[in-house]
Amino acid sequence: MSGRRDLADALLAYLGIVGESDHRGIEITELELNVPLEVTGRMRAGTFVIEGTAPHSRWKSGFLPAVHLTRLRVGLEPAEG
Amino acid sequence: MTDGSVPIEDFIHAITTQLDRVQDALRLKSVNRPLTYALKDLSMELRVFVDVDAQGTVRFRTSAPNESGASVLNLGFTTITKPMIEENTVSLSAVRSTSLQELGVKPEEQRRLEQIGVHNVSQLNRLENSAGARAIARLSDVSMDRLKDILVRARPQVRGIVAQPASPTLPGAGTPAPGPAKPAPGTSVSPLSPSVKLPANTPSIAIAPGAKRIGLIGKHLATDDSIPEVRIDNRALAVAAAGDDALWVDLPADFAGGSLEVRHGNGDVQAFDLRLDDGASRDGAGLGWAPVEE
Repeated sequence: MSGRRDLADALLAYLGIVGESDHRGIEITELELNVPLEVTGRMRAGTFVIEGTAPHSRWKSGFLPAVHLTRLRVGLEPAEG
Repeated sequence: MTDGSVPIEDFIHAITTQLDRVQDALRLKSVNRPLTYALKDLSMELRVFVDVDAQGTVRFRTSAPNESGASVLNLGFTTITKPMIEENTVSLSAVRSTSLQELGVKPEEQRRLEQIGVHNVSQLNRLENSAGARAIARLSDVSMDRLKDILVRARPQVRGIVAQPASPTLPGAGTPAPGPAKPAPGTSVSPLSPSVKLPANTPSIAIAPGAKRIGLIGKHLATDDSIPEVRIDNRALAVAAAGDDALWVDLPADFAGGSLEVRHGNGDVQAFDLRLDDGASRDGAGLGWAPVEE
């Protein structure tokens, strides 16, 4: 399963939607995403790692991992320091 | 682990590790930007198979393709502030306390005690003090005889007293605790008369004249929320440093010998006859006293 990525990578990819604002006077202050994720857990080098990716397909198939619904809420914050 | 399942703690830890990575990446972005986005909440509707193994550990496994009958686990994560973390987690000093494993508790007994919130010696002593051994035995299903044996080993005890060596390092001492020791919870400090009458079998300890500080060497001395109260002839002594196996206290400037009393957090009191002796070693060696092992 070389296409598998850490759950963090999938979440950061989703968060990238709001993270690349071009600062033309409009900022998104808060965003809520309800997205499906294929989440699996596997042992990697002796450590249990949670992996997550966007679903392979919108079509149902018996060979695809189960899709788990995920809700993300991100908000704008002043940078530290 | 043959079926891909892991204990629930490992499962949750694996998710929080991923969330920490997300927050770290977002924080890095903020270095070059005045505003940044933070992940406020995350909730996941996970399809898992739940199992309880022979040791009673709850294990989770994410559902594989074409598997039906998975349980739905709704997990919610949110960001919390530093004060909230401090309010809702055990203190670092609690973690520092001797573990049940180090005490020689069997894995099965350890698991049973952990189920009632006892993870270390400090917590065991505190629970014994408030609920009593019988209640612990009943709730944990550890036999009374076995529990008594464990409690004896967990009991705080001073096993030796040494004058501070010439070097100012404090061996075995932990967090500095300036000022007089605070009384252990649940213990009433009854005033003693200045001329305390000690029992005949009170250990007598000789230290060299001029010693400014003594070390009480023992086991399970400082707990996460209290340190023993140390008095000489009813005068509270300032605790310079306190650790699980050593307690360093400052002697009064006019100290000329007297009754040393150590009141432990579990209510136990130990007394010593501390006297000055020109013949005593000045570097602390050979001044120890140790009771016979149980």
